[in-house]
Amino acid sequence: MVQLNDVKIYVVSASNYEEFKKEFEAKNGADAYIAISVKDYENLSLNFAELRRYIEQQKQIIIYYEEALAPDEKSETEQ
Amino acid sequence: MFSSIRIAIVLTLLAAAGGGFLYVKKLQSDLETARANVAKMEVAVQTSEASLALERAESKRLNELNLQLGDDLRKAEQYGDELRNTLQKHNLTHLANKKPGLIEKRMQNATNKLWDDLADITNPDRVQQSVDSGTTDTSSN
Repeated sequence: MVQLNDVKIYVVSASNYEEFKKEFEAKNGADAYIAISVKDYENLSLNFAELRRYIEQQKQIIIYYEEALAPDEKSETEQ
Repeated sequence: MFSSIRIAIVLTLLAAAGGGFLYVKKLQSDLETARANVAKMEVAVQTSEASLALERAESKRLNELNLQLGDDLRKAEQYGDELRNTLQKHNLTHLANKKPGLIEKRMQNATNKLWDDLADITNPDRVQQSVDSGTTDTSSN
């Protein structure tokens, strides 16, 4: 099971930039930050969705093999 | 002369009777062998039929599992499809400019949910539960 750390996201536009700066500095003690465009955020989301799809499909394949290789209970009770 | 002919006839009759007796004995023995072979064949046929039935049941079970797998693999694509639709439907740049606070909250919630979902789908206990119950769970989508 993966253990993931929380990530705080700030959405900043001209209308709240000053407010964001103050809040960010108060919280993080510096005004250096990594910015990401909306388009890149969308791409990041899609990348995570793709990873999630891959993990989910691998899980389903594992379940399939577990069930396919498991002895058939019905035929065992009949014998 | 006459008595030797009689002896010959008697001997011939005795030989014929003996031959007939041996022939009947052999027929009886062949019949017994044939009966035993038929019994063995019946057992073999029953075994073959049972194996065939088992094979058919197994084939049906695997076919059902294959269909279920195809269905589950498609379901796994649901989250990405929904996300793509949402992103196409909304102009996130415009919304972020207009209502950054609201979008920030929604992004934060969606991101937190994604972390929870990733933790959930990689939880081995959940995989085991799915195997035990014979069903697959994609409700985290």
